[in-house]
Amino acid sequence: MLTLHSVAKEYDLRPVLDDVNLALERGLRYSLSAENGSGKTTLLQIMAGLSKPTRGKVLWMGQPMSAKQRGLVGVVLQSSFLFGDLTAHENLSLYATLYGRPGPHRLATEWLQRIGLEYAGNAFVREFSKGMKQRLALARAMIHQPQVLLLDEPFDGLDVQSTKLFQDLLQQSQEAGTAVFLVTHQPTEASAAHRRFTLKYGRLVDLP
Amino acid sequence: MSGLRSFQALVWKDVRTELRGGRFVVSSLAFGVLLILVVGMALGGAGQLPVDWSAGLLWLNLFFSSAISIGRHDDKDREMAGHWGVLLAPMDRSVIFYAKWLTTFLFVFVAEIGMIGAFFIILNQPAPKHPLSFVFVMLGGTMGLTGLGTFLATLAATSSMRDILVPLLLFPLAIPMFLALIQLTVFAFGGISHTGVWIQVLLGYLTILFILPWLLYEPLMEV
Repeated sequence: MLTLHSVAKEYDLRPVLDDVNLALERGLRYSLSAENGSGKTTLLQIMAGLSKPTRGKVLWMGQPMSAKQRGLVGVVLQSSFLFGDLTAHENLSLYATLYGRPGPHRLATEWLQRIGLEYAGNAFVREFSKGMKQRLALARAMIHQPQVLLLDEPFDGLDVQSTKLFQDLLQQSQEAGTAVFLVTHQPTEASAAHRRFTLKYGRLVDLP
Repeated sequence: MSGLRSFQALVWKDVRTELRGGRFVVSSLAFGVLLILVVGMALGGAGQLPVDWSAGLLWLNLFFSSAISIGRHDDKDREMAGHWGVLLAPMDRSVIFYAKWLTTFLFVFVAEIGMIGAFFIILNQPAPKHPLSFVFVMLGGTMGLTGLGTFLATLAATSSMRDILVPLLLFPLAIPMFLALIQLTVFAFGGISHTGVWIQVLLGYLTILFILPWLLYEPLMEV
């Protein structure tokens, strides 16, 4: 599926990532735990197509990622990528439309139920708590049924109920064949992965 | 087809955001009317200005009031990084530019209607001799200014000096178009009898603005 070949990234000649190689496979979960500022978010941005590597390639099924293949990836980064002046329902139906999904309004309603926010569908997202935004961000990232899901510390600041909901949704998605790449500082989440990594001096290193 | 649906969805998103207190139209209009008021007071209650003066004043006013708002048009999108989420969608990224251009054009044009009204009343200007030409110049000029401004706002998106950079870059790049708009407005006011090369200059700008983002927007959006 998604493959990184010798990916390197520099900001103003300062190396952040160096010779990163990775191949994501269907239905597997990957975790990445590393110190703050080690390049985790940069790596996710490159994998999502939001940032261009200084060197190396990001491939999808052996081909350079095209605009169409961007739609096979779902992303939850530190920011929610939502629009505060739209309601939760409008946000989800907007993204469903942008991803070319049929029946965007129906899908938005379905996903609001799945994340337990059906009661807040007509509320503006700027009025949401952090946990509600995080749940909505996950629905936004999954509404187009991505084949790869990239998550940057998705459990941060969530209550027990929301964490459980997140875990269940990720499990279901993984069982349906989605590869999940998770950046996390929580040892329990990291240990549940099929492969665990860390970043050392910009290089991706396997953890036992 | 999906590009068209995405375009419509993005336009709809911007219109809704503006209607829910986006303040683009209100701030442009308020700034523009105040500027005209100050000019009117400075000229001692105005009176009959030479047509090339009034055309210049009109476009100077429209330029500054819209340039300031254009640089801030996507502030609401940036609050929760919605602009990044849109970049992830599987479509040609130039669709995002064209949608933003259309909504910027709409909002600036609505504000302009108020500003033009204030211009004629406060500066006591006679009605244009060629009203249809005047409308076309206003539409074409607004399209050109907002297109260039939206493109520059994209280029300066990651800069912390974005608010200053957009008006600063917009003015030198828009000078030929600015001159064309002034001359075409003078023609509409009846000050000159022919449009010369100025229509071609304006059309040249619009052609470049329609084509260039389609070619450049995708690579420009990758940091």
